Amino acid sequence: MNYNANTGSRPALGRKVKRVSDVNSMGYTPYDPAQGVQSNIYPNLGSESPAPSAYQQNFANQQFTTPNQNYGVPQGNPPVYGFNQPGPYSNVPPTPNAQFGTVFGQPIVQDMALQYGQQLANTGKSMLKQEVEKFVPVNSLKYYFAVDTKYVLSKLMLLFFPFTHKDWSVKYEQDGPVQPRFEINAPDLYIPTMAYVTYVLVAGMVLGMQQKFTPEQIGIIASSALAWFVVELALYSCTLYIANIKTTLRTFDLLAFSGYKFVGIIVSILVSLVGARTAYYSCLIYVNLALAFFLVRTLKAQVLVEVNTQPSYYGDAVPSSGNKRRLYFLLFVAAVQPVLSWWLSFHLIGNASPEKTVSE
Amino acid sequence: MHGVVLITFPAARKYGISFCLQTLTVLNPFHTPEVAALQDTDLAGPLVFCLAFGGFLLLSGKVHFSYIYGIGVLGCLSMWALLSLMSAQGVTIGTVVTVLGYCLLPMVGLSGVNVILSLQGYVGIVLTSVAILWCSLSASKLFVTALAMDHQQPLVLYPCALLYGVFALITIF
Repeated sequence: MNYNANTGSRPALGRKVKRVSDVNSMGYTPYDPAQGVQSNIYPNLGSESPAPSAYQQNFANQQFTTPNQNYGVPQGNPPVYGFNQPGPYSNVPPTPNAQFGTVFGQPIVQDMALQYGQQLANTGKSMLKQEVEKFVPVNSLKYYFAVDTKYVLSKLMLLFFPFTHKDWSVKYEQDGPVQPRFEINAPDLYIPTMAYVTYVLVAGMVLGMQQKFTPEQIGIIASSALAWFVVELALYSCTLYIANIKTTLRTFDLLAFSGYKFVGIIVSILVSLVGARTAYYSCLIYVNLALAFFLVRTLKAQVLVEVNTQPSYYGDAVPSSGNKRRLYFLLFVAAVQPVLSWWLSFHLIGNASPEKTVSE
Repeated sequence: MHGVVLITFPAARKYGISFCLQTLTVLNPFHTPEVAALQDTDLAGPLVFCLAFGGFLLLSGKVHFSYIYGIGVLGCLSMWALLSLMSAQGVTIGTVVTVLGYCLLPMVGLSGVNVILSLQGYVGIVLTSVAILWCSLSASKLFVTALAMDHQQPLVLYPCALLYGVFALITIF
């Protein structure tokens, strides 16, 4: 957006050559870009700029940060020019010194500064993207967040009542599974992430109601839940590796499936506010039963399907033993969930809910 | 109202426009904002609102500027990460900060109310929920409009509600 008041009336001065060096020509005829020394003023713009001499670089940086200092031009040109550019700019008509103070009020200078800032920002952004891409595979992660409201609601309903759902298979496209937006059986990472954050907040709130809350608790709860999450994930990955089970399950899928239990934990904790321990335990048991059912059915569709599609060189021996191992892995996953759900929430339940004692 | 600002404060014209536009957009969460109004990154407005929020908390006897700052930064970063993963085109952190900061306005009102009367009773709970819902509705509406996300407004609303809920937690307790 161009906020300059003089947009309409300002003559286009060398705008097509978008280089900082054009600043030199503001108010004058466009400077001849054939002079090689011009390109050295383009500082700090990643790898595409030729390496400027450090001195000139310094100068070019300084001209935007300390406009009012009068640097002596190194090559011995008298500091008469409004901009103190180094180098032989002797064929630029000399600027009267009075213009020096107003030079940054001119719109073309502001435009140049804006462009410069934008280019710096763009370079910074692309560098940041590269760095982030090294640690987090953003594109494959985007698949798991491609959800919409209908999917989230149906999935939540499915987590609590999976018993009537008939078709658990995931439809595939050419290069991978269909996005969660279009396929309810596909795992997503939106629900687990939100559930994790909600769990931390609900835990903080519950502790606050029991007068046990300090802000450090939030950090403690968050990091311990995260640590157990990572341990669980490592356990699953090791089990898959050691037992030599080959599946199409990726790490993010395992992450998603492990994260679904936080939904149950939240509901159990909230229910424990209404009833006391009985309500909490019954809710926990039901939710974990539903989750176990859900996980077994979903993972069966994904883990056990390998058996039929892989060509077997050993006749039937490999599939059957692979089958048993896969089944044990499924049951193991389903069994770990209740244990961890209980572990992450039982210390948050008070002995008796405070509302009951106060209201009676 | 825009004309008044334009004529009387020419020097502040740019900031005046975006400040008024954004504030008006936040105050009416059911009105569809124009996309162009959201393109410029204005960090001054959010800063003013955060300082006002902290100021009201100060009047209630709570010195929580560090918490506001920390939660604000953390919340903005997480929202930016989530939105860039959820939307097709990605989002700049400036947009996120601008939207989240401007939508803090109802929360500033809540902290103002907190100075006068305590928010720990039933009235307080109702007021707090209304304030959080208002903030989140405006923020999610702005995000969904700016990023052209379809059928995802409740999904954006929930994390915004979580963030503003944390601010409400600081206000009340």
